[in-house]
Amino acid sequence: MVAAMKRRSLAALPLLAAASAVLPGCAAFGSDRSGIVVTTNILGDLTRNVVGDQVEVTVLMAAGADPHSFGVSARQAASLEQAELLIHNGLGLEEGVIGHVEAAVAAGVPDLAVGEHVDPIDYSADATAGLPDPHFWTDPVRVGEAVDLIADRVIEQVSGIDAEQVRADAEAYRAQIDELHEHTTALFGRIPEEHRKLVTDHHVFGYLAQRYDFEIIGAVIPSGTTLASPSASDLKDLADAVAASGVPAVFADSAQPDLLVQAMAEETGVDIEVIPLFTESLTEPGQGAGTYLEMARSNAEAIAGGLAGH
Amino acid sequence: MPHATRARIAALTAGCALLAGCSSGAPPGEDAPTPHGYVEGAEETAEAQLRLVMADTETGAVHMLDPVTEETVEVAQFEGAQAMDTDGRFVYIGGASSTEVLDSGVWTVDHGDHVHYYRTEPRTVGGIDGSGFAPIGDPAVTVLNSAAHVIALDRESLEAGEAGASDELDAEAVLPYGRRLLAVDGGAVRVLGRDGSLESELDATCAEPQGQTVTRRGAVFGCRDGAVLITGDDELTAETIPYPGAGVDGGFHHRPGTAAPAARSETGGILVLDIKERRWTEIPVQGVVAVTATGEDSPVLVLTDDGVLRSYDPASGAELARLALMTITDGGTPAIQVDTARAYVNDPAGAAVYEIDYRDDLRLARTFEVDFRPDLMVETGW
Repeated sequence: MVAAMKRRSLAALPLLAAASAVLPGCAAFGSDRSGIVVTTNILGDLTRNVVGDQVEVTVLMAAGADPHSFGVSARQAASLEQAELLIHNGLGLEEGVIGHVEAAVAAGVPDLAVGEHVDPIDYSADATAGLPDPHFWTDPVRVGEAVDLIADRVIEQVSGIDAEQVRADAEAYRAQIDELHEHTTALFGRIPEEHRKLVTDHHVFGYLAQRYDFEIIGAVIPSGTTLASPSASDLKDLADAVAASGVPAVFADSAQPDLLVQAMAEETGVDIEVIPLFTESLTEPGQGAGTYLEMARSNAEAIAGGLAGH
Repeated sequence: MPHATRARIAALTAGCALLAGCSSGAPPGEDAPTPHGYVEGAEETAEAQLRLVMADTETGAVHMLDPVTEETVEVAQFEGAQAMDTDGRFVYIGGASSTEVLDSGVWTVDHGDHVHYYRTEPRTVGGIDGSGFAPIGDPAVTVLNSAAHVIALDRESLEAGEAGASDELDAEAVLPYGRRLLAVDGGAVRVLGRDGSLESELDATCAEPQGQTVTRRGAVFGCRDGAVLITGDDELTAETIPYPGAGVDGGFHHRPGTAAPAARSETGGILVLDIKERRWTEIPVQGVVAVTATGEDSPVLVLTDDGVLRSYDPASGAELARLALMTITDGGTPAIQVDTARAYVNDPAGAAVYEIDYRDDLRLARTFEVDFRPDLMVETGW
């Protein structure tokens, strides 16, 4: 029944969107807005856990995409302007759709910029120091706050919704997030204090570092042409970072991790382990980060596994 | 509740359908979701996608070499190619009186604290009247400067495979900077909106602009009496950095974005501009075939007509290393292209490209042998 409903309303939406896109007059049906539109797939997962099947949730960013640069089709842009509620990350994350988000908000679509309400921190790196860091989801505590914010806003804005059900669903999901935080705390508790250092070229773990008391050691990860014929000077930055951390774990996406490990050993005599993490997007189901909980748990286990054993 | 939602959608759709125009719908093409990136079919990659685009001026064949896979593919055929330059993604292959545009299909989007790398299929875009262009681009526009005229190309059109959307700009030299254009005309330095409208005139003069470039520390025009440096975000300011003696002759060459561009001087040597220190360094080398700077506190590379590649300290001008690379013959234009890790030099007569580790005393990292004459070469993907 639920599945059948979804199929039908999905079929109806393009018609609606197409019609209103062509005719500005259709926007006058202000009270006939429907559905929740969410920009990123991480926020989409949180929102679906909060509202269940009560209301259609449209997520603009595909699995495995980049939240900074994903774009939307004309149909999606139109659906955004007809949304009953628009949930976005904010803090400058969704550069590719910021124009559409701003237009929808200007047109009166109620919105929630989640990142702005979860006590954002600033980047500390040189080039962007002082700018707000949008990647709050690497801190499960803030994600828990985000779940409550989403529930409140949904109850406030989505007409006819069963508020009690939303509260119950949000609470149940919040309990899973709390459990994730406890699990993560316990995992990281096994890492000796002096090894709580992430050697990485990722820029998203500032919130995780603050929550769980890690130091981020930024490093240039040699890649491509450098690995084809490396010298010690190519690998010095990474070797220095690994030496500073005291552990061999390097958290990075490398197209050729084995080649990187080999080059480091041969040229600098430093043994490293290259550990990939999920950063800014959920994956398709079954590919390691199909949900937020799966993504965060996987990262926590990878970090603990890389740092605790040494 | 699901029923109520569905009913509302149905009612709204029906309501609209009664109004004229509602039934026409969006074009089918716009209905497909474009979940990711700016270009249909573009793939984001974990690492920079660098390519060496080379043309054999005898046969007109244009090849692309991927230095990671070491594979070379022929991507286009342009008869009469004489010169080649790039804005990082699009390659401008100049002939006698027209220029062909090739989309190399690899590029980088800089988000300040991090970058994104993209890859799509290379393709030919089309032709533009005129030649001798020096391109310089940003995500919205690529400006082509030449002695005869200045043209602005809309990046979105280029990405869609069309070279047609171009505007001729009424100025001697133009740069895209921030969300605006900087234009030199009749000695004046002006700030223009993206539509070409005049916003303001800066307090500097630039006679006889020779070359222009954009760096992380500001935009630079090489003028008769010195470099005019333009800095700032919203409020732009201009200042002149006078030449120590002879001025620059021709354009600036440097690793994209880096703030120590190099140029040939009127006396045949090299001039390096340290933007941070507002200071020029002269390197009295003669017989320059190609030059480029690799960054602040990083060597300036010069290929001389004896086929030797030399590196120089950009602050003192002292020679740091040298490497005999090739025999320079008539025909072909050896060029030095630099990225964050390596420099590449094409050897037309030797049918080879040399990969140089410029931070390691010009260590020859790899030699790529090719089965054509690489007369012209640029690196794309930045």
